Amino acid sequence: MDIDIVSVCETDMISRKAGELIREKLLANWAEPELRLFLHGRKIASVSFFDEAIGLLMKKGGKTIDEMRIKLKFPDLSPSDRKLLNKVINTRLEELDGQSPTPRQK
Amino acid sequence: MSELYVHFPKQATAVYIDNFLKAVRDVRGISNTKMVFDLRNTSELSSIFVCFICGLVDLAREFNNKIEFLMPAHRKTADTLRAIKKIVPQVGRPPLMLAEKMCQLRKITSHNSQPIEDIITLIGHHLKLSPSLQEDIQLLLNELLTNAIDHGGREECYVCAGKWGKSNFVHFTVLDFGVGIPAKIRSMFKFDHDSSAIQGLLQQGLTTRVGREGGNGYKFIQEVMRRTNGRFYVYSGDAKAAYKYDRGEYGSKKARRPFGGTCVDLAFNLTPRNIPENYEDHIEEIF
Repeated sequence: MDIDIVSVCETDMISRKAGELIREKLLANWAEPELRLFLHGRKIASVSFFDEAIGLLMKKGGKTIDEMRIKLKFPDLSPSDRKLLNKVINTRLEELDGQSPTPRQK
Repeated sequence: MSELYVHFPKQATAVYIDNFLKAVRDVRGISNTKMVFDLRNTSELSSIFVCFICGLVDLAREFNNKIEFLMPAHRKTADTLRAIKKIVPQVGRPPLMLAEKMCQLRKITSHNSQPIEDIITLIGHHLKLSPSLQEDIQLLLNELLTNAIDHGGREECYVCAGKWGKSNFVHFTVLDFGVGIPAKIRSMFKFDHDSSAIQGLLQQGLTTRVGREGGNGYKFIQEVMRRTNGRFYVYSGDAKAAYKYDRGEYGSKKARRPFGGTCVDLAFNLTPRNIPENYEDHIEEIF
């Protein structure tokens, strides 16, 4: 399934509220074999957005990082946004690794 | 109609910032008055200065005040101010471009970060900023925009960018007239003074988000400014803080005048050795 972030979020692609919209959409369609998120040349450059949309899939959505790695695809993410997204996820993993059971072990 | 003189300082450095904070206090809440913005002593404009002038004009007009400018005696400064004045009355603030100074100004009233992208593209092209530095700037300005819109309470802010005079820094300033950072922090944590609340935010990474995620905005700002050897200034409530990573000077203190709002000035160091081209985080690539 393809999700167009620009269509879902319109002009706000930086706030936590916008990120939450994407997370809800991802969780509602989690049964799909693959979820492809498109930005069509736009940049996010927002820790808040990525954390709320993707990072919190673990803490609030109960998803594991392995599930997310398989399910979520970002075909047109810019290199800087990809770096930022990975940084946000790593921060969440560090935070969750201190708890038990961790998303990696679940 | 009564008259109110609002005196503007010589320049908008940290030394003179109290004059702006006083101006906001003077203008706020006054109605049906002729306000005279006296800039005769002003000899140097900057991003902070431009933000405050535009913000104060809006604040004054909100309460049906009339505004008159007393122009700077300094000829070049007066020329720059004339260019700014042209766009001040216009709703939505069209882009301000001053050829030589390359100043960019926007009033932003939503989470739409497109105006910020535009500013960075224009300034970045003009000053030949590296792509990695432009990305850093975008990240930090988006963070400040989110803070201003979400926490300020007024859902509007002014963003101004420019390189002024012979300085080696390009400045990006975000100003809002909301509740201010210390007020938010002190509503949740016990601090004797606004400056210690700001210190708590910057040194301990306090967050005012309760039961919600996030609140690491200033941690990110500090991380980037440290890495790029830049400076950042925060003026909010009764506090002012200056972090100069290029000089190793950090501190916050009490402002002489309380200020309802927040002004953050990010100064990126343009000295070539301070612009990292290939900075890489050691992070696991997941996506």
